[in-house]
Amino acid sequence: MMNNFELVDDYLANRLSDLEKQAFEQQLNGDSSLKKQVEFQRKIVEGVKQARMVELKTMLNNVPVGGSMWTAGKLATALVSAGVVATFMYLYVNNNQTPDTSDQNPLTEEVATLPDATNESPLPEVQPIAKDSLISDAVPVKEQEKKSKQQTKTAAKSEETSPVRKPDIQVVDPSDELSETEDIAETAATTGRGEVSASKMEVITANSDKKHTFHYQFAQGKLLLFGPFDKSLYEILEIHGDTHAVFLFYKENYYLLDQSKSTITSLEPIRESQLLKKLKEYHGR
Amino acid sequence: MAYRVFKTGLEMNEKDLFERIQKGDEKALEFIYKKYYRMMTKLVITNSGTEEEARDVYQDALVVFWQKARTGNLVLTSKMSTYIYSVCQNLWRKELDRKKRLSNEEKDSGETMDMDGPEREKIIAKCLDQLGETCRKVLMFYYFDEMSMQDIADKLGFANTDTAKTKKYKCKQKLDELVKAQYSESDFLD
Repeated sequence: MMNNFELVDDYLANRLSDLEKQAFEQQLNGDSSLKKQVEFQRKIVEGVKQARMVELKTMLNNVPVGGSMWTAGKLATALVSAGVVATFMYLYVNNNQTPDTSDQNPLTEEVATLPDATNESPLPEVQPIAKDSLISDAVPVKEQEKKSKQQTKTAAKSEETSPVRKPDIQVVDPSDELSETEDIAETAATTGRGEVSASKMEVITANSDKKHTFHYQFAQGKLLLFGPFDKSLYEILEIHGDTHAVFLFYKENYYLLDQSKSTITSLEPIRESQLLKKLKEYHGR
Repeated sequence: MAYRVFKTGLEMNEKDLFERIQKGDEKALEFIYKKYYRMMTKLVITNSGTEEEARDVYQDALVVFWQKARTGNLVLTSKMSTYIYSVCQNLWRKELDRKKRLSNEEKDSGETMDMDGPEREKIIAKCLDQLGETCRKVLMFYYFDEMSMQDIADKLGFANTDTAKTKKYKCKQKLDELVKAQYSESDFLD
């Protein structure tokens, strides 16, 4: 029995010479009980091998490979991904009415499910990139150039047909005078108590055309940004204090976005030091 | 940090890296895994696979590579990456075929899959765990890695090959008993 056991074991462990192997297989053909024993042992050996494979794979699984396929690589890729996630979040919020900023983390799933979510979008013509941010806690948003060109055109046309639910944004007093709006901005920034509540703002970027190289516009409750926003990261800051105000942060500059302006307005960096200081404080939170 | 030292030491010489694999250096396998991760998973992802499937295929391919190298059944005539890549290709092609067949079978709604295999593997894995770490290693090294008794003795710190041999024999007997206790023999063979 001991001999048989060893022979079977050597056979299954691939330790027999070709000659020995041949002889054993001949013996096997004429001995059904030996055959049965071999089959039993074979399954156990296969199980051991399988367990080793699982062990090796588990070991490999624990090797860090530099992030997921979607986010690894160039920064640009990551930024585009972030834009896509933002789109998903906007749609998610719209569908469920339960904004939850904790959903920002799992990049991969969100990117993967994007095509479906986009199809179910209540916006058949526009696919805006939007953000869901906490007040005074800006979220970076970045978008792809090609899409946004079309989006701007369609967004402008679709006013009467668009079923978009208007974002819950308080509108500041209409005023065309920059000095006045700056006052509003400053009041908001300096008196803001930093209450935290979910807010939504749709943002659409468009390549600059000849007339509008660095401009913005509020239309149909959406924010349109004209300019090279596909080249660098931009952020939208919303501040809810006694007054509500929206700012753009782009390339180390802050810009006031006056929601009362429905015409295309040029973006001018804020220079007022007191206001800048406050904005940086909120931004850094 | 240890990794970095390892990396610079190995990157220069592919032959050396392959020799380490042949000797059973799992760190070398981890290094290769990391080095070619994007290249290999991309192959699957760009051929209608998910990232998870890509990772799975790549890991399977590396395990095949490992076993072939360990058992001396692989003579490298090309770069390691070329070999691993072709294994990935084959595995993914097989998986795509399997998926296709599966979807056809679903339409016929006839065949059932063999569920005994995975179930049996689970039971054996459980029994292996019950044997303890040394037995587990001895049996895995012996059957999967096809290590010599001398190598097993060296790797696990046994006094000599006789100790390794006895250990293997006892561990295997014990495993058989444990598995038999889980199954009646006829059930197991079904």
